[in-house]
This record gives sequence, C-alpha cells and structure tokens, in this order.
Amino acid sequence: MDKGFVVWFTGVPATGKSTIAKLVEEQLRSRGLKVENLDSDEVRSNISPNLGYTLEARDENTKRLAFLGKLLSRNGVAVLITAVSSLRKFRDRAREQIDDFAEVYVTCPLEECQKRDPKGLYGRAERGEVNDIAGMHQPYEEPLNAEVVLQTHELSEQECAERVIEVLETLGYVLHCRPAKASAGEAYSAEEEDKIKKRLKDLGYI
Amino acid sequence: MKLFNKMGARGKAPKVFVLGLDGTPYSLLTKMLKEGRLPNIARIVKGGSLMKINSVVPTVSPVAWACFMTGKNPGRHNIFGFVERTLDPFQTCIISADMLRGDTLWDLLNCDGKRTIVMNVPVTYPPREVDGVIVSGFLCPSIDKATYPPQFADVLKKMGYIIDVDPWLARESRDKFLTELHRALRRRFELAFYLMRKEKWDFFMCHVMETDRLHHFFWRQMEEDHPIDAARFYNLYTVLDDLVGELRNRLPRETLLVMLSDHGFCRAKREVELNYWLARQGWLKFTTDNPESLADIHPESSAYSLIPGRIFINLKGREPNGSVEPGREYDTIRQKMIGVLLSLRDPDTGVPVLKDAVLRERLYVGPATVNAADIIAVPNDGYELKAKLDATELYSASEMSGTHTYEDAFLFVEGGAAPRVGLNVSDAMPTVLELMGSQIPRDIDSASCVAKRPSKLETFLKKK
Repeated sequence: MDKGFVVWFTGVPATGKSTIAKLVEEQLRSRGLKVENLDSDEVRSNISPNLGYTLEARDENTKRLAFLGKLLSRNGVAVLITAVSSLRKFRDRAREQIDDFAEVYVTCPLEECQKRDPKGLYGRAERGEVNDIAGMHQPYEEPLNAEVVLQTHELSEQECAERVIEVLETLGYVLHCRPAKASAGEAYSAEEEDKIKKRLKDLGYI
Repeated sequence: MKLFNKMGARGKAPKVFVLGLDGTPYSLLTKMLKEGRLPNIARIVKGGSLMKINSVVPTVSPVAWACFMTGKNPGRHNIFGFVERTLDPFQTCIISADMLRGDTLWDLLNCDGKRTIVMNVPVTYPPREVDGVIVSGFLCPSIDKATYPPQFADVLKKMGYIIDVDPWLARESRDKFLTELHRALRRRFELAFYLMRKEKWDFFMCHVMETDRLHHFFWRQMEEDHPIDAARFYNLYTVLDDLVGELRNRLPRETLLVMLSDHGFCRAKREVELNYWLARQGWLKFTTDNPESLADIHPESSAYSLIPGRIFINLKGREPNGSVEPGREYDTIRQKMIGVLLSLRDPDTGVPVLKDAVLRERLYVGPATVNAADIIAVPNDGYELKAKLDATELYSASEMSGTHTYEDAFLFVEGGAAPRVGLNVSDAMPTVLELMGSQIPRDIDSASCVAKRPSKLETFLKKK
C-alpha cells in the first residue's frame, strides 16, 4: 500500500488555494496515487452545514478536517485540504495528529484578493453584508514553519503546483521518479547497447 | 513472522521449482496435451491445476516477468517495455534491472533465510547480489557479466552455455536457427541440472526463452500445418517435454513444481507504425527528412511513440523540447488522440486495430506511473504496434510469423490451486511465497491462488 499524507493549504480567501490544490490533485492522480481533495467549503456544506464563521466555528471545522485527513491518509490516500484555517493552533493541531503532513501557505496582497474575489466575498464585505473574513475582520496568523510558501501574485498556478510536488518529493511523500538515466557507462557499454538493440530489432521488439 | 507453514513431507516448508516457458499459450499447451504430444508434462499436470491467466499491458516479456518477480503492476515496478527514453541526450536506451523497483520474489525469500537460484529470467541483468546464484537472461550482453557470484561465469563458459540465440540466424537459415535453439535449450537444462545437484537451494527458477523464439518464426507455419516447419515446431516441444520429465524426476521429493508463461501467442497479421500515424495526423514532425533518433523530433510536435503502443505527449517542462502545456491542454490532446486512435481500422478487413487506448493513470497504480507513457494503445490480437521514426507507410505485412497476446498465458501449480477470474502473471509471485510458507508482503498488487487444503474437520464431515 502506498503511504498516505496530508497537504494542508492555508491562506485568506481568494489567494488561489483551491485552484492550486486542483492542479496538484491532477498531478498526483496521473502518478497513480489515490487522491482526495477536501475543499473546506464542500466539506462544510456536507457535514457541518450549520457551522458559521466565528473563531469557535473555525476551530471546530479545522478539527473535523484534520480528523478526516488522518483517517484517509493512514489508509494510503494522498489528502489535499484547502481551508483558510486562520489560527496557527488550528494547523499545528492537524500537524500533531497526522504523521506525514505538509503545510502550504498560499498568499498574495489583499488588493489582489479583492480584485480576484471569485466567490464575491470581498464585494459583500464592501457592501457591509459580511463581517467575518479572516485577514480583514478576523485575525489571520501567518504560518511560521510552512513547508511551502506560494506568492500567487508572482508565480503562475502551474508553477505553484509544481513547487508543491517538488517539496512532496523532497519530503519523501511522493517518489522522486524521473525517466530512465542514460544507460551508457552503467549497465551497458555503448558497444553492448548497440548489440542488444540490433538483437531487439531482429525480433521486431524495437 | 510466519503464521504457519505449509507442511512438507517432514514437517518442513516445501521447496519450489519454477519453470518459465516464455510465450507458451494455454490453448497451445492444452491442444498438445490432448494430442498426446507431451506425455511427461501430461503426467505432471495431473498432479495439480493448469490455469489460463492474463499477461500485462504492454504485452512484452520484460514487463510481464517484472510483474512476476515483484507481484506488482508496472506503476510500481517501473518496467514498461524493452526501451525507455533518456532526456539528455534525448534518445532511447535499453532497460536493465537497475530500473526495477521493489523487492523481488528472491529478495523476499532470502530475507526469510531461503537460498535461491535464478536462471535466465528477463530483467535480471545486471545481476544483483543474492543468497544463491543468479544467471542473467535476455538483454544481458555477455556471459562474463551474466552471473552472481561473478566467478560463476567460468562454469557457464566451460559448459558452452548460451544466453540467447541470435534471431538474425532465422533470416539467414531456418535450419541453423533451429539447431541453435535446440542447443540453447539443452544447455539451459544441463546448467539447471548441474546447479540443482551442486548447490544448496530452497527456490529454483529456470526460464526458457526458446519457446518464444520458436513462436516468432514458426507460429503461422504451425497453424497452417506446413509439411516441414510444423513438424519442426512440435519437435522442439517434444524435446522440451523430455527435458521437463527429466527435471521432474531429478527434483527432491518435497519440491513443488510451478510452471508458467508470461503471455500468449497468435499469428502476426500486420505491423502498424504509430509514429507514422502521429505524423500523418499532424501531431509529430521532425527536424530532418531522415529522422534517426528522438533528438530529431521537432519542438512543435505534440507526441511521439515508443514500441509497443506507448505514446508520450511532448509535454512542456518534462520532454527536452516540450510544447504541450500541462493541465488542460495535456488532457484535451490525450482525449482527442484516444478518440482518433480507436477509429484505426485494418485496411483490408475493417476490423479495429486496437482493443483499447488508455490513459496511464487508468492502467497503472503507484508512484512509478509517472514514468509510463501518457497513452497506452492496446492492440487486437495479431496487430503489432511499431514505432519506427522513418516509417514510410502506416500498415505493412508482419515480418514475424507469430506475435504476443495478452490473454491465454498459463500457470500450473503442483498440488492444486484455486483458479479465479482475472488471474494474471503477477499472481504467481504470492502463490510461490504461500507454497513456501513465507510471508506475503502487503504492498503488492496480486494475490495467491494456492488451493486451501480441506481441514481435517472438513474431510471428516465429508466422509459422514
């Protein structure tokens, strides 16, 4: 069984967490891993529909996400969690519970977030309809020891995803697989390689 | 470690001898048994279960034997064909055992304190250190480098051992080729008998390549009852049957014999040049009129193919001159290519050339999947997927007389087994471990098919 792990994407709304997680998900899947992408909004609407956005509610939500991540990862699943998870203690609690864990801090200037605003959240804040956005109305504590920091106003989405994969490889959560090394000088000399290639050609194998 | 031992005659776990017959189809074997051509094998087969099993995609020996050795799918064992690509310089290279990932059957048996002798299995070159002896097989360039321990090569030379017959001979003279095949086969068994006698062992495996070679050059003639060549075809099996009979007689009493092949065989119908096809679709261009190596692929290309049926997308950031963007563009082009691939038809009969064309993540599981081709085309029986860079036509008559099939390999387990749907070549690995009372690892993709023997209680109840 493959070893599971949890990648926890944290950052204020509209920094690009979900977009990057989706790209990472695709890459891990194409490497043959079992992947579960737990988007905080989706998990909330399915298992905690009545949970709000007070600090207590956020505490509860991240607790549930960490528990799901722990269950899945110990059964060999690569788990991606995207959640604002505004306080350090929320993320540190998850890190303590999960053996193989990586924290990805996704960040960009607030003006950039307001400009992107894919869910219309900042627009609603401007109109006074919401007052519980982390990093605006509520505190957001930047990670002190995240495995990856992604400045999404400087890197493309694809570059961000690749950086995450690289770090997962370095951490040993994902096998560092690259195409075969040149075999000349290793298993075969150039002459031997030619001889074998000719034999394979004569058999119609190459 | 062990929960229980399969008890042998004296309360010890039995030894196992595995005989690998490369490319011997279940259907051919059962036909020859019925016709009475293989009296020794017939006698042996009565004492166990003979089962039809599947091979692996792509259906070539190194991939299939790597599945057997590791009990894993290619997404974990990392062997996907005879050749792979290197990126710097951009060219093809021959695979070797250095690329194989995961513990082999003999690694695990060694860990369990069992001594292993392994002869001629593909993808065992360069030979790794082992508690026992390894004689590398096909793809090993010379006897000098073929063995562990290295000094054992001298014994091979003294015995006139032949690793593999030069297939070019078949084009020069079919007589000479057959003489060499017979010689290689006899020497192989002579060496096996020598090692069985001289060495201490708990597990012994001998792989026979000569069956596959015979099929490649004589299969059609056998099917057509060619007056000379059909007799020559069956003659090699008669000799093999004698040798297997002698082998069974020489095996120590508490030894179980397992026999298997890695793929089936059928008549070769047509060669299909996938690089030519990609070029015709506008997906592959070259920087020269006479492309010789992968380095001649034009950066504007979307894909190229390696044999057999492995299509690599010219992905930006991965391939040396990659131009296809990862993500949406990569996915779209793969889906589009699969659609067009599946519409390929035999120009004479209109029969689809491919059984399927699959995304790599649908076919393989595990971290080595990243090294697999992006699309794997699976041919219908008789179609050979080629990848010449300088091909001038899409279809041509097959040069070979026979070619591999995914279905119709065989597995025989002495003492009995429990056949099940979808058994494949990798299932032989945990089967051997169970027969020998060794622990089956959890990280494999296969399962034992040893028949559970009825308990004393069940036997008792049956009698009542």
